[in-house]
Amino acid sequence: MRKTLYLLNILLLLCLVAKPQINQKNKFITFFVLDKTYITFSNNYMRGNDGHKYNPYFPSSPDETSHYMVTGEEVLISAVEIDTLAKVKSMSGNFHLDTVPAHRQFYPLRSLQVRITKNGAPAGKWLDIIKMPTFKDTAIVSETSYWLLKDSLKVNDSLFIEFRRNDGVALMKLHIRRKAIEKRPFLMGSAHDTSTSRDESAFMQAQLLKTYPSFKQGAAFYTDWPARIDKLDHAYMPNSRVAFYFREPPDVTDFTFQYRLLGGRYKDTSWKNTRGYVLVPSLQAGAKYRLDVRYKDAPALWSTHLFHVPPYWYQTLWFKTGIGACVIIVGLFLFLLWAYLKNKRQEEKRKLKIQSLYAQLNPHFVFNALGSIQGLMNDQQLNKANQYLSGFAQLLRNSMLSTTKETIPLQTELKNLDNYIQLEILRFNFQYELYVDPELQTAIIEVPPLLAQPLIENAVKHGVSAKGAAGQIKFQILKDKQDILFSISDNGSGFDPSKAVDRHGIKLTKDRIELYNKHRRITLDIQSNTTGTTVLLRYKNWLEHD
Amino acid sequence: MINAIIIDDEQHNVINLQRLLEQHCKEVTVVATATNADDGIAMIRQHQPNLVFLDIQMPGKTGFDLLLALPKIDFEIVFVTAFDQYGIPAVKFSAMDYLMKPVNVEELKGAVQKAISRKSNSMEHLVAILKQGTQRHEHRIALPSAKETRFVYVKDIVRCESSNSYTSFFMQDGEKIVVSVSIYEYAEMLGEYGFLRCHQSHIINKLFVRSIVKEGGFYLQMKGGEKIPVSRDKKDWVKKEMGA
Repeated sequence: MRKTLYLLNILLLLCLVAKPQINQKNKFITFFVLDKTYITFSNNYMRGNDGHKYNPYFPSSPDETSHYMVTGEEVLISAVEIDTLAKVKSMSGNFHLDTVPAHRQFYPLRSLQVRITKNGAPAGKWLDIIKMPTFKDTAIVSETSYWLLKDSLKVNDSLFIEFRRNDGVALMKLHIRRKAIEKRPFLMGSAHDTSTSRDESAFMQAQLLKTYPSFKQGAAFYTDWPARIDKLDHAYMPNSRVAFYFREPPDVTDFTFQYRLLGGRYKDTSWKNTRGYVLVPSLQAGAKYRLDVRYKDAPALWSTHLFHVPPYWYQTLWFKTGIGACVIIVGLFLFLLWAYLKNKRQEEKRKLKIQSLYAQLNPHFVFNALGSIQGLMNDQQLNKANQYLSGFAQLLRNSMLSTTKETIPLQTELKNLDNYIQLEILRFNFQYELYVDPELQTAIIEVPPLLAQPLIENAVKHGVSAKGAAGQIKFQILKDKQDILFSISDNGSGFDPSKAVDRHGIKLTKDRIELYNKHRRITLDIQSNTTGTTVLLRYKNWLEHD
Repeated sequence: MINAIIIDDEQHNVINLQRLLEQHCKEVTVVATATNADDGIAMIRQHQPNLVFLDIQMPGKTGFDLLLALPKIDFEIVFVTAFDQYGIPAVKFSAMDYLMKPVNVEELKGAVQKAISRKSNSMEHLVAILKQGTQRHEHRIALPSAKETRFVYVKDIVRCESSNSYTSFFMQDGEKIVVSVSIYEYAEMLGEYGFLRCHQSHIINKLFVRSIVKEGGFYLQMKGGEKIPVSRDKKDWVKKEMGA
């Protein structure tokens, strides 16, 4: 049957950061609560050997010993029956409680015996506690406390304290050893000043100089406390100031501290001399500080204290993230707006450019065509002259109208190109063949106006113009699945398409295709050899509308 | 014998047209010519012609002003224009002929034939449109078919559908009118009246669209239930025009 022991650990350490609480006896008390019977241990500092996890003891296995270390010199052990206390005023310290109900009425004080052994000396006699001398314990406001032991311990002295019932049943066993404390500066407390209106010297007057003596007095309470690395990270208000007070070192004659403060605007890592306090005059919001303190003659042993100032609301992460998100969103919005406007501008530009390119019938052709018509008139071929003149007019009109239209019906385009070819035939008298795939609905399908005109012009100029009646141009409009294909073939002597970049017609057509390709795919393919040239203008997926 | 008057602000054009008519349209006799609208009105009153060749854009009064100044039009008209964006839509709306300068002889012959054999009341409608001006809801459009020319209120047209060079008009009362004019021409004419060419083969009246449907392809559902496809590259434009 395993008994459970509850450990209640109430630490006085809270007073480290508040005002020092001065115990009259300058003692730190550990209570072993055995039902109604309290065994009290007084020492300046007492701790379980395994740190804060105290060794519990088990009444059912009394062979086990609980080990403690103390750092204070004075040891006082007493026993008191809680029922005898008029009122419990102040019982602060570490409480070790045995709350197992089965052990109630197990430890009446009148049946308890104690035996104390110092430094492993032969065990003394078992003594009845109620036969021990009594005293008035002001620490716990006890009228009759039984005096078990009062002793001075040197470093490494040990005590072995055994309890048993007077019928011989063994109870708890405690082993205590005094340890030396390190020469690390011990932080007793701090004074925090939030009054920003008060200047520094006023703070020194009101707080520092007045409270420092009481801190020095308080130092007596902490005389033998070991200094620790302070793991707590205390928070202070922005723009306030704080002073840290340190215990007068125990065995050091040269009472000189050294400190270094890092964080906020403090970047200097060198050690500075000071008296027993460190003043941080102005705390910055959002800063994290670290204060290292040591004694001048023991530079290897320093204690570290962390503290910080919470950031202002606008310095917090979520606020920064929010601002960042807002900036990103606004930036993104502006970027999209900019991109939209730019795109719109480019679209406008593109339209203007297309329009400017539309109207460009080659002036050379225009005036030569007029010349040909003039020739017909002077040759008295008036009907022919009329016919070509109206054809020319129609071509010119559509060329001009095209500045306002991106596309025109294929049948209008074919009429344009036919008009054009007829005029060129008038000049060069070549053979011409036109084929339109009957499947193409020429009244509905729309194409960019006069896109193929410069290509036909090339076929005439570079292909057949020199051959006269032997020249041949074949113009085919074909349907290839969803594509429309303009095929222009001539039987001229050909050219190298890769070197034909400077040709006005090809360049113009390529420029226009570039502009159109923002919307749909148009490709231009030129095949040329010594027996002729074929130019393929393909409108990809042009018939795919649904 | 057809008595004709030529009204054109360019004397050379008057002479040219006169020559062409003498040579190619022997049934036409030019009884008078004028180089401005006011003289033209006087000549028309004096000669009571059967046919008038009328330039639209002239300094001072236009050809249309001339028509509106006459109390009654009991002659046929062939419009002659150089490069005139202003008057053509009204003329087209009435399905009347017009010639472009320089005049093509074949077209001239055709226009004369059509004018003298015309049985429709195109002229009245043209005058009506000219008088109504921007009161578009009153406008009627001429739909010429083989046997007759129908004049329908533009606001009664639900939609048009094309099949190559034919265009079918679907009217509000359920009637279907087929004309042999390509849909391209009507797309231009009706664009001003709240019609959208949402597809190569379809024009719709915005007022008769019930909804834009995005499920199972993008199309417009008309109030009568028909589903009209929207071209892929016109989706955005249609959405914008429909205010969606």
